[in-house]
Amino acid sequence: MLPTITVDVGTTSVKLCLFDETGVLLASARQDTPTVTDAWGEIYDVARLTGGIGDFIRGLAPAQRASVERIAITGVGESGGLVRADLSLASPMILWHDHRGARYLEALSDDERSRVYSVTGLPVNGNYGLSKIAWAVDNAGGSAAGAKWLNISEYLAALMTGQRWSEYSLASRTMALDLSTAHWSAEIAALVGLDLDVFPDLRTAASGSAVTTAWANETGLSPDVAVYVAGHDHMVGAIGAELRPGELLNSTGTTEGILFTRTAPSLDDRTAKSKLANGISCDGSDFTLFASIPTGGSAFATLQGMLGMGAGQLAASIDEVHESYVAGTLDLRGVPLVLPQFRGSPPPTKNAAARGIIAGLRTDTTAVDIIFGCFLGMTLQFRDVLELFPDRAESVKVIGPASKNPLWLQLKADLLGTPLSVSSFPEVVSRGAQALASQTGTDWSDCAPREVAVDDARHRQLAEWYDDIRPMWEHLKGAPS
Amino acid sequence: MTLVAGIDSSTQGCKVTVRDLETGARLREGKASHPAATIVDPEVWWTALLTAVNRAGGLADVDAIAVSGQQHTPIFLDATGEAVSDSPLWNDTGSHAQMMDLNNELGRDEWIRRTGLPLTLSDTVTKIRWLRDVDPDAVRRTEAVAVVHDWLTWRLMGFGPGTGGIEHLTTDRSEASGTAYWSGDTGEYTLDLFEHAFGKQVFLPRVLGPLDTAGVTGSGIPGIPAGITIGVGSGDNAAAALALGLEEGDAVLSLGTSGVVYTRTAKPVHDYAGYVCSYADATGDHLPLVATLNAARNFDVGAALLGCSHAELSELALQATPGSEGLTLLPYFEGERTPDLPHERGSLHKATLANLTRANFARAVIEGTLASQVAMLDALQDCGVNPKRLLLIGGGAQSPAVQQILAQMVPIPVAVPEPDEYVTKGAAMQAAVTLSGSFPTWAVSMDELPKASLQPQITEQHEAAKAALGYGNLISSLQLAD
Repeated sequence: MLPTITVDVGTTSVKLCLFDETGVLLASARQDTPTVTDAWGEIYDVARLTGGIGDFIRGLAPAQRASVERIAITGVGESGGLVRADLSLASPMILWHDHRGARYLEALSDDERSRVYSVTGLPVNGNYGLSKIAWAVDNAGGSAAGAKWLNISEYLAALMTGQRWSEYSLASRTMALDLSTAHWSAEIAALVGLDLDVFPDLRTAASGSAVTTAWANETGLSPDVAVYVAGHDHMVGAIGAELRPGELLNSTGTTEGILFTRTAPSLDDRTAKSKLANGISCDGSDFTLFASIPTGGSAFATLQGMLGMGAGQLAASIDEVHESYVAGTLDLRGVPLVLPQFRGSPPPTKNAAARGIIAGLRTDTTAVDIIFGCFLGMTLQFRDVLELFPDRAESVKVIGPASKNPLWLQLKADLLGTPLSVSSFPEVVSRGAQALASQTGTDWSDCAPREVAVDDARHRQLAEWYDDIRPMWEHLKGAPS
Repeated sequence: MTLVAGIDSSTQGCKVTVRDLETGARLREGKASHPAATIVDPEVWWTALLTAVNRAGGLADVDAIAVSGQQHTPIFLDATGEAVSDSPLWNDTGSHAQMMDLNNELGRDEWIRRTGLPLTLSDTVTKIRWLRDVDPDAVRRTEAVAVVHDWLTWRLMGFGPGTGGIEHLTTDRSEASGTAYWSGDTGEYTLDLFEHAFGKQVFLPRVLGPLDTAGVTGSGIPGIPAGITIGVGSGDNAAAALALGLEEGDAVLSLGTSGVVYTRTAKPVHDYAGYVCSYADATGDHLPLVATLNAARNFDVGAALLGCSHAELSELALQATPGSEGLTLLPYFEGERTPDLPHERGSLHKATLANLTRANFARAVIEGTLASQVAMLDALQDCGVNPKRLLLIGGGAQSPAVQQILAQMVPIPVAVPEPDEYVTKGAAMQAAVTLSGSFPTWAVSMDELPKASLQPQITEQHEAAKAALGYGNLISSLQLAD
């Protein structure tokens, strides 16, 4: 591989890493994803975002800085803004979960929605770029002439290189890319009144551009450094985890992702009704089938907020209840049933307005019971979403913050009845980005994976418990938003 | 100074207060705990009474006493005055099956028509059926059935195990009305209902009038001189209503272990919707009453989950806005009787990353608790009873958050009487009757809460949460395992 600075723009934090040519992590930093609020919602604070990246690079030792050959950028899909040729913004840089353009989708007929899925492989939803682009173009009026829609990662690459392009895995999250041709779809764009002028050229993650002299001077990097848009963070994670057909990638960040790689998209009615998201992989050679569960790692913040616990206190409580669970001293009948839709619901409903429910609260319910119930509920929700996929997981690879949570992992293994292979390396997505920018492969063993085994007795116990609570679980899922 | 004493033998313990007959001022008091078990040897109540009397400095200087007590709880006596079995308390859930049986046998509406009570597992009639089912031999030996205040009054008169004299047992209208074998319409026992439940007739305490005297104290009782007159006594809610000076148009919301809403009417009600229990009061009128299992104890749960005190819970709740940003709690932590969801548990609704804050959760606990109570006012209104003022009493009444939020939820004025032992005070007023022939007019100081703009979304959210769990029809088919 090549010495690389990676930038991973996540929902809640931006991860910056420097890897050497052997993939060893030499330096890293993490900052809160900088956002501000405009009249319609929450948008990126671009100045602070770019400032933080510049500070990281300038803060590296001169020798480290001089060694850098690549910058690889990855991040959330579905975000973006309109960028003019001079790289000025013609719209806010909009967050992925912002629904300001949702009204452009409301008028779509059922047939049109079916058509959108059959062309783009995506269920119609305001998260995807298309409605945001329509909103941005309308909102910009005449000032959007010549502007192109770039994802936040693509925008950062443009600022570094002066070039505007879109990477395939990110483009396939706009709901405007024709999966079968790998070109922008004029038919779909027209559904919201757009023509194709607003969409940039497409590249694979293996195609980069050199930094501008000005940016090289500003950051102290060599002008020979090339910038690559590695792609959508979950897809880049699949590269970092050396994901193979038949393997499931469970990536856990603020949200939780379920991802399979495939040789062809899955566009049948069942998949469409399940609202699973097809995409093109980062190298453009195959496809992905993906579902995002809105409440993933954000459950930690939810629990901390409600229970007034610091991160350390919550971690200690998780360890405590994990020990109790593994020791078999925890009575599942006393655990609250938590429908963890604290940020909306996952497929097959994908309802941003859905809300969480905690049921089964008793006089003797403790904070630890709620913590356990929350992770158990997240695991149930994970299984429900996994069962929507046409693919069966031969093995499960877990990356992201969940790899540090013994309770969440053990519950998942026990409930699924499938052992997990869990990365011990914390920055698998960034490693995948480095590999893509270096045009090399990765080796899962480099992530020092450890196995979380299934305990047959607990698997049976959970199955029995689920039989008891299943009517209530199904009822809660159907509760009005 | 002439002194009178009121005794409250409640679920948790026994309290005695000694008061000035002239003013009702509380001069001294004593307390003793009852065991936590829900089936107990009744002797523990007598022992606790004597302990409380002792801790109150004895009654040597007292001229009259009266007893109030937990409603419903029966004591089964043989001909000698000996208890034939332990007594199941009103809150013992072991009589659920018997409640179902009695409803099935005669029909739910028949109980309401005959007694004014939608039958619950708390009512005395379900307890006597329980004894018939679990201990037929005890039933065979039973010659009298009384409730706690009846029996303690009788003990004060010098009767007890082995003395005989069960024919001297007395009760009052309020206690009789909680048995479900007494009619508020006729003022008479419905003996056929008793026999239906118990399988035989026994002696039932004579029902005294509001101004009657039960008797005088017997000799040889530690701390209590012989010859003190004993007032008729009453059930606990009737005693509190008497002490509060409840008038028609007033309703009381008592936020204690359970939540109770009651009012005063001239005639009994018959709530075929099944929520309002038509009890009698201590004045000769009626006391329609609705109750929830879950009330102030909800605040214990909320405070424990948040790791804070009750005062902090109140402070947190007042930091949040009405409706708690959508967060909604159905506080059925112990199951619930109003609505009838004995096997359900509490649930928190509409939780998001944004609204699941400590302040919102604290407010949701209080809003959810009060929404359950306000729903009981609706049940009264459905019976044609329209309170014009609400008096807030009980352990939860002093919470600033409870006061402020309740004022945002009801369209009628809310007043908070000064803290007092209103049950013992009511009993003391019944004691005073034996000396003066009429109820004393002891003043009750109350603070009227400032008017607040109504926040209907609190109740709307509560109703929406109930509907989301299928509680709209009040009998849920979705029940979590206990």
